[in-house]
Amino acid sequence: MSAVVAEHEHDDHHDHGPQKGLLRWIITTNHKDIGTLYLVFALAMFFVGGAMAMIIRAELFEPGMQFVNPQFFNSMTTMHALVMVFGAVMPAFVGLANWMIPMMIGAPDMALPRMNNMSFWMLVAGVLLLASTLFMEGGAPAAGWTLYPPLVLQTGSALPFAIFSVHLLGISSIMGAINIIATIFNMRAPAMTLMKMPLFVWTWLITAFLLIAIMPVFAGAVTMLLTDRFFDTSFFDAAGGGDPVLYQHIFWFFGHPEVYVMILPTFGVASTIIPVFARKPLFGYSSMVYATASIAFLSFIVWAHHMFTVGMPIAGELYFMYATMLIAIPTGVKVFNWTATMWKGSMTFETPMLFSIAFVVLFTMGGFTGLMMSIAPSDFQYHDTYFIVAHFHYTLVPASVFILMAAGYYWLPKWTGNMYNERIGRLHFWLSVISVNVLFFPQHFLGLAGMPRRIPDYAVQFADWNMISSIGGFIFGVSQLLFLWIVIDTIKGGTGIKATDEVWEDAHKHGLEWTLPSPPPYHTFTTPPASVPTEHI
Amino acid sequence: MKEDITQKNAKLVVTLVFVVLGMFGFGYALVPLYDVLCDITGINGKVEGAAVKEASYEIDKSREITVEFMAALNESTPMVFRPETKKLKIHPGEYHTVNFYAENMTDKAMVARAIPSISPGPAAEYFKKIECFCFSEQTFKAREGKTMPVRFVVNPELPEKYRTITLAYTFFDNTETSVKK
Amino acid sequence: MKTIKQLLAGLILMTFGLGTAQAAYTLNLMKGVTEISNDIYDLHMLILWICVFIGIVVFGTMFYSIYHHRKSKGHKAEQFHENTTVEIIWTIIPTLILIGMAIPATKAMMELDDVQDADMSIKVTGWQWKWEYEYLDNGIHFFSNLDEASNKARQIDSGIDPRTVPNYLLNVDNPLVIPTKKKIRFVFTAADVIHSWWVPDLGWKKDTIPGFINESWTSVDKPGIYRGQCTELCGKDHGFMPIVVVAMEQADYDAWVKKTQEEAAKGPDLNDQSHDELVSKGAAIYAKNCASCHMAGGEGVPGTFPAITGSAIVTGDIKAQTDLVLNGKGMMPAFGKMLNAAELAQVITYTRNALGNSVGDEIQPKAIQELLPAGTAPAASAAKEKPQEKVDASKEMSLDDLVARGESVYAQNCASCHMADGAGLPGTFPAIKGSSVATGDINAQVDLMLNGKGMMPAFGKTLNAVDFAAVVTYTRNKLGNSVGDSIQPSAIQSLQSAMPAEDDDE
Repeated sequence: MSAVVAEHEHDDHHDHGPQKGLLRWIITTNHKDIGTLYLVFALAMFFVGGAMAMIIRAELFEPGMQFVNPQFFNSMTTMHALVMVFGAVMPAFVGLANWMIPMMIGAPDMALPRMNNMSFWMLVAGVLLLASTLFMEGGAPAAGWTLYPPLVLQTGSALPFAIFSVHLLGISSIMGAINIIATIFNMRAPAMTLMKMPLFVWTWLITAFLLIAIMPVFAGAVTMLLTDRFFDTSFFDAAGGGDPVLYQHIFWFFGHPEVYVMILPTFGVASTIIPVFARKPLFGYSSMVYATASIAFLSFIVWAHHMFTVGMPIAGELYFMYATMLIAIPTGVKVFNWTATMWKGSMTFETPMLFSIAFVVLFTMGGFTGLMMSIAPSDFQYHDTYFIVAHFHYTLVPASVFILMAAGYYWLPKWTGNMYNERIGRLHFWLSVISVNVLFFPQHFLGLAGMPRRIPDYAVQFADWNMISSIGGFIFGVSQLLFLWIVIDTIKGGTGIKATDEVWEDAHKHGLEWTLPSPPPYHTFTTPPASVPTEHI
Repeated sequence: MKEDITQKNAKLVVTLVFVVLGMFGFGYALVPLYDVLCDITGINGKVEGAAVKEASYEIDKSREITVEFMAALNESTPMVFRPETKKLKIHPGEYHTVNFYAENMTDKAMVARAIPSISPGPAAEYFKKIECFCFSEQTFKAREGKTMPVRFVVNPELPEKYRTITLAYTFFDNTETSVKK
Repeated sequence: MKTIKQLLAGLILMTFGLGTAQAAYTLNLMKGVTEISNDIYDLHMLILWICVFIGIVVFGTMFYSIYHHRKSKGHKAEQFHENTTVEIIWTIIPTLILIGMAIPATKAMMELDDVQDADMSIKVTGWQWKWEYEYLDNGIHFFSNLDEASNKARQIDSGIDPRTVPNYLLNVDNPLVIPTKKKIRFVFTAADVIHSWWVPDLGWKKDTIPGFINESWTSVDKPGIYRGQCTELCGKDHGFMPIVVVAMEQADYDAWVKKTQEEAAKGPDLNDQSHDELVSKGAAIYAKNCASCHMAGGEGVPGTFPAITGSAIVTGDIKAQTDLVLNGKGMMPAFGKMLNAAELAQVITYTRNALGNSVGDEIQPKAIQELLPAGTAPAASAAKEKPQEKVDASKEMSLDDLVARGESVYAQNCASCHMADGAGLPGTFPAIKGSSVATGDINAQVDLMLNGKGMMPAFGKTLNAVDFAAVVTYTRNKLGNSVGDSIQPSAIQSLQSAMPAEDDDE
């Protein structure tokens, strides 16, 4: 490791711009370049995962099997989840972290630029390997993204490749997390004390620690699957004295913090955007930091609420129910904070703010259903139905994905130096916010009415809502092409309006990045800023 | 200044790498931890795989417990397997022996292992087995049928609320894995 | 609220012009037909309304603010932030609300957990992709598959509109039948991967885990047909293994039990069938049991499920194929436990002479029956458990006849504990040889055997009068004993008929 660090220093002595041509993107160690790579890759994967969702919704458009066989359908649900989680949402946030954290804390670059490059290319390798399983004998993994044994052990020749790909993705995430922690701890401008950091930086710091704690556990779990299948161990095989439920415990020990990995940075971006457009400081900066930390802590002790029906003793059920209910408190604190930040502000509603408000409302809806599911006896009805599909999509699509859109609109002018097309941006927002509700809200009804999740075909009484949901899905899917268009258009010059340095009114009071030119030079903050903005605190 | 940051980074990275390795180890440590947890809480009715010594308990004549016996076969285990006694009423503290009958339906020798499970889970720790065919893999000759005893006692400390205990065995065909070994 | 929602739903539906084909959809959780499902429904509604209330307050505030506190209306931002009092209030109020929710939730949880003192037990085993039910108290045992109409319609490009199939994907060939108003305990396990058994009307689902057992219970108030599905992804046909529970009044249930047992006692028709008959009947059995893996055309799924067409096994030695079908291997289940001899003969003959194969040979039910273990063929198992086999108990039997018959009865029922030679297991099972019971008062011995004692099971219900008399006589005159007396079946029968009809714990 120290060798890498030493080389990085050598790197810094050349004060040059980017390399010319394709090679720039392959060997780059610049945080802005790597951030761009991550974001572009995540966007591409968002469309790949989205295409899989379209296949799912097309098959579910009507009762009866029309397009795909059930095995392929299961592969689609599995791959859709894996691609979206590990290929789209997580890399997108890592991309934002790469771009923004150094600029937000007044650092010249990430602490470990070489590792940064490596972690990106390992991500690409991991996702490509995962995608290649689609073409293997026996098809891609089809046991759900949770990869539960014994079912997952029935996967064809894809299994070892899928597991190796999870290893690559895990190592990539861990390297990214280490880099972020090192950057935040060691690279801050002297004036940037911990309790002055923007909330996006705070939430990412906590997220990075979560990643370091959980990704190795997941790597361990899938390694156990591998040895169970190929080396005659029996961690999860009852025949050899193992227990398949043990896998679920280990998986969700990883899996529950993992879902917070996808939502904590979301909170950070929302807490960064809302004050700017409300022209008010965030209502409770320190309580936001504490709430984030307590959510992160609670995420480690609630995992078995994903497994209320596996037959735990009642003491376990009750404990996990109570602990899960507790999460509502810090989450509530956050929602109240955002509301209080808007209260008596002077709000304008540019696209980033629109997406952020939609996030607060729709994430809260996902939170409500989460609270409903924390009640163990009720969960005996909700578990593994479309109700939970609706729940976690509400917390991921109109929450994480919407905030990623908001972040895109918010920082695109800074990144490119051009203003995006506000009218098309708003059109994209309204199409997205309406269609996402048409897509996911009926799924609550379907789940309550008794439709299990992960089924390729359904009883006819579920037909109407499935059709509506599919229609919403198609509109949502097509609407996202608008976003793609806007991104390309903005890079190419957009409306022709050049972005100012601060882009948004008085934004320089909220974050260091707005004190830099738009677009920022290749190297920024080579000397740390003397003072830091404190408006957000 | 620069040198300083490089060193700080290196130190932090080393620390974090140790955390990562530690957490990887922790994933594996969850396996034995889970067994401990199972013993304490009775998750899944996992029961000890080894015999306990025959100790004398005071027989609790004041209550009767129904013990049910169940036999199951994993998918492709070509056997006949059934409890010879389906149900027994006992007093906690009494020793009893019941028989299970298993027969190899193939013309080849077979190695099979019976996995016990007890429900309700929390009752598992009070259910002590002195003798059981599940303690080790069983070898069956071609078409061989065996009557296999289970000797057990229910600890009289069993909480009052448990009045029915189910003991189930599932036979898994381990012939292939044991041949490899 | 509900009407508004439904109105809204109706409007949306009309907008899309979907019509109301089988509009039995619901928007909310179903109340169900058990006390627990009702409790859960109430809990669900309570929390739903709390969420709606909180939502109105929070979103109301937010939208008021969005409407009034906007720059375009000239609103100036106030710079207040950090207010400890407010922050404490909005931490404490939710905490109190949560405690309010936790209390009824805990109560419902405790109730759900109490599986004790059930009236009857049913063992449920999850298979890829069907359910197996075994009534532990009366020996009824069967598999439950997706019904044929749904199975046909659900094939890709089947050309059948699912809307024309009654209870599409929610219907089975053999439903689970239970009596109403009885506490029924379910014991769950699985044979291959994890499944989950869910009937929404009963209020819960439970995972079935290979190698482990789980329990749950229900008590249905209202007769009716309740439908559910597997809810844990279990592979390719996870969506096609429904559950149907038929709840009947006790009397109807008893009649069903009797009928089922009688049918089972008859067993399959083992008469020889013509080649063509075997093949044509085999097609339906193949579609139901084999096509989900080996595909309808026998082409299999490369890498996962081998093809039937041109398979070396199917076109090779028929004995080897029969052995594989009967006993399974790896992911191939042992069909000897699921199908009867006639069905097995039909499906094996079918695979050899259809699906692109033309071996030309056949196997007859009788040949299969010989390979099946006695008493494990699904149809025969119920009969095996049943004591009321037709025997003539009124006939007087000689001591020698009784002893002769008693020998096999002893071997089947007694030898596993008392040992074949009657020596018993010292310290555990008493010897028959020289036993004071077997050489003492015959009535005392009969009483002991009828009613059991401690570990000695009560044979009064499991042996018929002839077998019973025979084994009593056998133990007194063989195994080293020579009392010389005997008891007649008619005497046993009168004792048996005096016994209570059902055990109180059943």
